[in-house]
Amino acid sequence: MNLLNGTISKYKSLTKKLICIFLCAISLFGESGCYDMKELDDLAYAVAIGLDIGKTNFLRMSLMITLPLTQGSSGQNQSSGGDNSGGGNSNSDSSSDKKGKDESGKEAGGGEKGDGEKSDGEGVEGKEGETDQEKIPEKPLSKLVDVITVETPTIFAGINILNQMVSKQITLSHVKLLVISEKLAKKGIDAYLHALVRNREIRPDIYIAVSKCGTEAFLKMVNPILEDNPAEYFNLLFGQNNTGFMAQSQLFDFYFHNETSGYYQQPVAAYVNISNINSMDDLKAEQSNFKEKGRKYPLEGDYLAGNLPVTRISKTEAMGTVVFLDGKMAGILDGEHTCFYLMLTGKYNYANWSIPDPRVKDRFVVVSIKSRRIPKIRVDANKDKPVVTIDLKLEGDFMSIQSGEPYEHQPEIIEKAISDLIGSGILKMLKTLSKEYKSDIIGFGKYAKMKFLTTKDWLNYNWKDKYTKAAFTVKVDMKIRRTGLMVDTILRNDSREGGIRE
Amino acid sequence: MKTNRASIGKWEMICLLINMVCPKLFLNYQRETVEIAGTAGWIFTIFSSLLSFFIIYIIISLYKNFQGMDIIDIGEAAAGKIGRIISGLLFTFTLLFIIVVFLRLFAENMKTISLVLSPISFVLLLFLGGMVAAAYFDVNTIAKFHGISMVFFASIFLIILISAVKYYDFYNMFPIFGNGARSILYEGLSGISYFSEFMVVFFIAPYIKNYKTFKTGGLIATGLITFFLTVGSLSYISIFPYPGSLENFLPIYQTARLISYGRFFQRIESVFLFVWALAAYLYLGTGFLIAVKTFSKTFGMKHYKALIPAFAVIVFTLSFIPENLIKTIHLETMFFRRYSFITAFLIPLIFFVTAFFRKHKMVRKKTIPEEETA
Repeated sequence: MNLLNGTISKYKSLTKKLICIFLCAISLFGESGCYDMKELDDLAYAVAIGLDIGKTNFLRMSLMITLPLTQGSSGQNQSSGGDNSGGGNSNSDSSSDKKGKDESGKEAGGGEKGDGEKSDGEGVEGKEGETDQEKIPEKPLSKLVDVITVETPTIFAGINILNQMVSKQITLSHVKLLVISEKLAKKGIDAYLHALVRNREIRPDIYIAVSKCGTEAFLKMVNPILEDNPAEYFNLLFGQNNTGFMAQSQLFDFYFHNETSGYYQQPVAAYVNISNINSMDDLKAEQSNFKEKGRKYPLEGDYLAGNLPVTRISKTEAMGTVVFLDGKMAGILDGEHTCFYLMLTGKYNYANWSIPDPRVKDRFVVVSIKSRRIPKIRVDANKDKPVVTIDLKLEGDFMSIQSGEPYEHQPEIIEKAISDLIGSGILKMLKTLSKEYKSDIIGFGKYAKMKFLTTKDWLNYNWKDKYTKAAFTVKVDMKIRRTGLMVDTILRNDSREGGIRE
Repeated sequence: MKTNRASIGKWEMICLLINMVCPKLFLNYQRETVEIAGTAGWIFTIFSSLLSFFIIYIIISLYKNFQGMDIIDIGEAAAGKIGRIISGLLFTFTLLFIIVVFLRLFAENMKTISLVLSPISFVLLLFLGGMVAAAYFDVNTIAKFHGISMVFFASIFLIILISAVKYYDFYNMFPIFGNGARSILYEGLSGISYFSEFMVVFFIAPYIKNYKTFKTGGLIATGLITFFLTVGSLSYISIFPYPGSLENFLPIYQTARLISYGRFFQRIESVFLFVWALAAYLYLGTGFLIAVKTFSKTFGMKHYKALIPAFAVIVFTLSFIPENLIKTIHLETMFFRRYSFITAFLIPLIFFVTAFFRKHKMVRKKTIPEEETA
């Protein structure tokens, strides 16, 4: 009897354990999702979203979708193409080039006109989109992607419509770039930003850019040459930090600066466009803004995307920074001013600068300038007119001394020239930002709010208004550290030929 | 505290308490501190934690006289059988309320971030399954699970916070006093409710090895909880600028989404999801087990396990009462986080003090006749 009881109790205990294990297993496996199961092959991966003002509806949304099968077999396609034209890449590139030449010139022209002045009104924009429509290439230049465009009242309604058209379900979890047209940026993008941040598929680290031309045209003209994966292409292009000509604006920063815009900082976005230049013969001096800066010739930062003095297969360009004010585009900074913006926000890495030689006319000293420390910024917010003091510490290495002057032994001459160039440039940029654009993209507000004890006091101070009256003092401390692989230059008699010693 | 079932050591006790109090870091705690005190949310956390530490110290000191007893026994010692029933029902209902609200919260959050298309009943059942399975184990076993898992949770939590270092901007902490001293001090008083789950210590007390373990374990756990809550709040305020930080939901998940180093180390929120589900199982399982045990003890039932299926059905049904996620959050923040300190600290304190004086009175009564006869 005892034996039977023991066996029954053992059996009960075993049953309970099995029930527990079963419950745990069901719970754990269930968490991996049954209802939400999605096969990777059944998804269409969007890598870029373009938002523009619609012709028949509020929004014209373009999605760049990768064609993974094409990517996987791109090598084969290229080699078969090579049979016809003697080289895989050259075949696809030359066709792209041709198409680019046909379309890009017109598109850039459209971009110039489309300054968005007409788009202040609410609602559907009527014929706004028509001019762009005529210039958009039929197919994307890259064979690795497809660009589909829809007119829709909202982003996710658009996705719904597109899902009806596309055999696979569109997912936004691999989106790397959000391009907003200049027209829409000027009208205001708040309504669409919230949708993007609320959605769990869209990553907070996607890049934000504003395009002078229509976004559909821009996305169709994207034609990565050195990178097969379009998502990685956007990552590399917009994530690079070695020129200083473009602000890396990601959704996280953009959104939170936009949300807190009246509070202390305004957002920025990268500026992109389609190249205006089809051959070097097309180059004009007006494409650079050097004259506005009082220069006799353009320096490398005196350009904006679309006007770069470059000819190449891929016609899309990124240079400059778009300044926002309360969710609307307020202005643009060129490459040089973008560099200054990056320096002041502590995001500047390094870049090569051509500095006009202070002793020899029409000669340059090329210096690779790095940030030595995070800039020290103090804001005296006690008065009605805040005083901003900036202490910027930079260092650099000589890359080239065209005139052959012995600056290696007198670096202070170049240090002063650089300090003056950067210092005056920063002051000019800050004046534009505070007086003209009225937008604190540097975030001086965050230094100012340190002086206040409570949020209420800070809000009462009304930084947005005070910022427009701010006075700025900039001190640039530049140090030349290294001279490259040369420590001296032996002067030849004719070494300064062409240059006039001052 | 000298019963043969007493096998919970200091480590298990500390881990259990941390795992019970800190899961709110995965839910909504950081945002709530910002809502209360603005950019001074972290100061609010420190202030309310110090207050909690002080109260916990008093209660732990008073417990010295009631070793081996849980809060039901102490209720009985304070007010007899009625005291036992009142305290038992009060704590059972409080624990059930927490379980119901948190079960729904965990399920809703899981639905928001992962199981989007699954019906809420399905997600609730998944958590319920884990919770019920945990309840079939004993307190000692659960405590050991806590002991093992806490290191894992803490590591992942800290790894997420450290990995997001490039997003930290300590200027976000200014203005330093945020919504003002009043909101920090006044709201900080009810802020001790964030430590409410600490009350499980009054139920697991008989399982703890000895009073010294109970005291040091309780105080160390409070210190570590303060550390985790403060670090969580501070990092959140530094990463998400105010007032944008008021919009966010699931702060650690949002922080994990930001992490991206190169092509491979990114999208680590999937790891967070795993840790989060495990923490939810342990939290709900422990709370549910204690609720069932408290109820059975209150009415003198010998076998609490028989109650588990019935309680599971009740919890599952009640969790459908809130209409939506916002109302569930509202239930948690407006009721539980404002008033739970009454059940968690105030009533136990009253029981302890009453029982203490009653015990002294009885001792005096006993000794006086002895002296008289002598």
